[in-house]
Amino acid sequence: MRKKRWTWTASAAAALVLAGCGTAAQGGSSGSQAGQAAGNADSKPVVTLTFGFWGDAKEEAVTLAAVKAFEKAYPNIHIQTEFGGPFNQYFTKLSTEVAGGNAPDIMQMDYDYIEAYAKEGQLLNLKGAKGINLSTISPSVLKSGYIDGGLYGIPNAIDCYSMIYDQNAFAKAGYHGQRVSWGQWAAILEKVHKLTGKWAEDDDENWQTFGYWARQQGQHLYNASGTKLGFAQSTLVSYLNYWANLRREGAVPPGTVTSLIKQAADPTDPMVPGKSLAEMTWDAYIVSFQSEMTKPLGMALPPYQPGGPEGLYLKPSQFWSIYSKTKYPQQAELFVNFLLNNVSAGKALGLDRGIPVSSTVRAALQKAGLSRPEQQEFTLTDQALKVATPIDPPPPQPNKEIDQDFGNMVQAVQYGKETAQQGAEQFMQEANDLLQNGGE
Amino acid sequence: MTSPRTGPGATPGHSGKRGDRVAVATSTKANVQANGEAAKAVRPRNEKVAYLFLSPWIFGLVVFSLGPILVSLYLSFTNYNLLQPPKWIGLENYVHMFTQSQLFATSLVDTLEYILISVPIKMVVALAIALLLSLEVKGIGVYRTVYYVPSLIGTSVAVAYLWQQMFGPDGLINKGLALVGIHGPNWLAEPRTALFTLAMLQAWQFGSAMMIFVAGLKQIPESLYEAAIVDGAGRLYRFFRITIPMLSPVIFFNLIMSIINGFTQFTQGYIVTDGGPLNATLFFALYLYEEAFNFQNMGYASALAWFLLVLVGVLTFLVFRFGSRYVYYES
Repeated sequence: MRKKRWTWTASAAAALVLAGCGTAAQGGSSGSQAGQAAGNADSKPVVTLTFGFWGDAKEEAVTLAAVKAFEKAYPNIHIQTEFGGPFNQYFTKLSTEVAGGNAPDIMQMDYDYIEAYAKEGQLLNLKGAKGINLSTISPSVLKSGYIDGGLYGIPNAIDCYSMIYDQNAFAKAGYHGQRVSWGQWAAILEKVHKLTGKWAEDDDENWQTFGYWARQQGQHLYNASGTKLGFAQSTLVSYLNYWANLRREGAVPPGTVTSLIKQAADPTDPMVPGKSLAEMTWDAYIVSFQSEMTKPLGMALPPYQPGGPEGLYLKPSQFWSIYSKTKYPQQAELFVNFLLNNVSAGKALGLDRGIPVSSTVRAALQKAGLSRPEQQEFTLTDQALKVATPIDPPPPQPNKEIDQDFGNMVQAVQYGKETAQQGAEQFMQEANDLLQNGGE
Repeated sequence: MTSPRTGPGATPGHSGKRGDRVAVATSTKANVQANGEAAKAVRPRNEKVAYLFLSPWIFGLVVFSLGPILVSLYLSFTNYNLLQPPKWIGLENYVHMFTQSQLFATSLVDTLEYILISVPIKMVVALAIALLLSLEVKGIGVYRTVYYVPSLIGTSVAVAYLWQQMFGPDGLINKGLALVGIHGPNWLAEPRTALFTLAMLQAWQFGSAMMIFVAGLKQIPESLYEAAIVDGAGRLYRFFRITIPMLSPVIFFNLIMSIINGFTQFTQGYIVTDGGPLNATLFFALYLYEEAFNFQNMGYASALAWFLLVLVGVLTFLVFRFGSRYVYYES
């Protein structure tokens, strides 16, 4: 009997340890993706810089090509690339690296994160940096990299919302890319759906497109100090109802289809296999979409709200930032400058991240000739520049959690588990709680 | 997975080793010089050598497991977003967990449901196939390997993607069903079927449980069956009166391991469904991961981890407490 009890305890202890290890191991499971650019190893580099970035497969390829061009131009600097995969995974890894004090020397930054990273002293102030030529970049674009008077990231490209659509299908309904109101757009979608029998658009409900909707009512996602939501409940309800009506008509897919989409322009996106015919998303996506699809795509400015203010804004696609603890700030600046201003780097990078910020690179790209989707992207950005209003300030820290809560709420409404009214009310209360408790 | 000997059935082995160590300790000094004599004489040096060989493991345990585990206990009482230093907030994380968080309850229910579906299926399948594989057939080793393969690859990301494709709206499963005239559901998009689909993926990895069953079956003395046959016992009677009782320690061990395994499930929910639809597959470990790495609530996530540890500990204890009366130990 005693013997038996001893075994129980031993096994129970073992079970506890196993359970503990299982949980503890989850965090470390993302393996390191080291040295894609090890091809230069035999040239005995004097300095090795690490460079972290995110993106899809195409963005990875073009970035590695730009890195190669840099190493060719500066044989004494070796760039160790750390491709972080998609956005979320990249920031998962980066936040861990920053906590451990070993983030990459040069990192791709995002508008939603740059403020937090800069305020915690993780980014190098590039104001007055000698190695980077900022004269090619319009001051209004550069402005987004300033936080509390310091320059903590240089925007690498600009992006704006657009409607990407199947040109032939929409032509049948008499639509040729002009900017229309939300009401007109819904009528066009219903017509396209009746003519083709397909979904006329993806169900593009998300926190950011709602932000665009709110701006058209003169409201914003957050109030100026980022301590509360900045829109009325009726605004959110009207947005949810707009999409609910389109779902009821069959003009956009049901929740069971939308919930399986992993990423825009991904094979899970019904737009790619032609099951749905339009998508409201960032304009740079047209390059990815067109590389996956054979049907010619059109591009237009997204719908407007009659009588409301202009909601369209230009967003810095991403930033190039330098880690404040880098050992080689000069070389890192050299690399950032190369990515921004060098023509061969610009040609390698293309328009996959949006329209390049450097006027030199833009001119060179246009001179060298653009592909059709690239030309469309250029044209749309020009149109947008004429009407766009300033971007909202970077969102407060709990934004990511609120973003996800919003997605959960939208899904519950799509599945018919909640009405728009219930969903909006509950979501707004939770989000305001998060904002007041500072992210916890 | 270790050999079946580490299960509750391994008692004699353990106590034997303990006895040895007592003997060794008392005879240490006397035998230091006695080199080539009895085997006894070499043992004391071996003990030090053993620790030497163990040291990388002990080092690893302390630095990479025990250290982080204790740090996470500390962090569970703090607000820590990775960028700023942790701030002590006492029990706030635990209070939030039990009183304010909806997703906490959702994820717990999802996980329990998942375990309730997947563990029984996995156990029955593992035992059934183990019975088949304990037959003496030519090439039995090959069969055993083949059936073990899902356990090796089942937790991999690639298989999760494969599963996603198979159960997609136009996936292999629905195409197969269409052949016999059934319009299959949209497996991963309906809250009910999504969890079931993932439970099947878990049950499919029955390999290690099966191998342990096979080893357990081998331990049952043939004489018992022979005696039963002589007494006129049928197949079913022999299975329920001999096989199951004799196998009970192994069943028990497999049950506990499967439950623990179920609680730490992560990859499948992360890759195949990303917790959806409607949070139906938001496993506890996935919820914890999101809080920690997506939302940078490291302190709260550490509290979740400790809750999981205690929960699994308590459940394991309960299973031992109430399950063991059905377990037959030979000693």
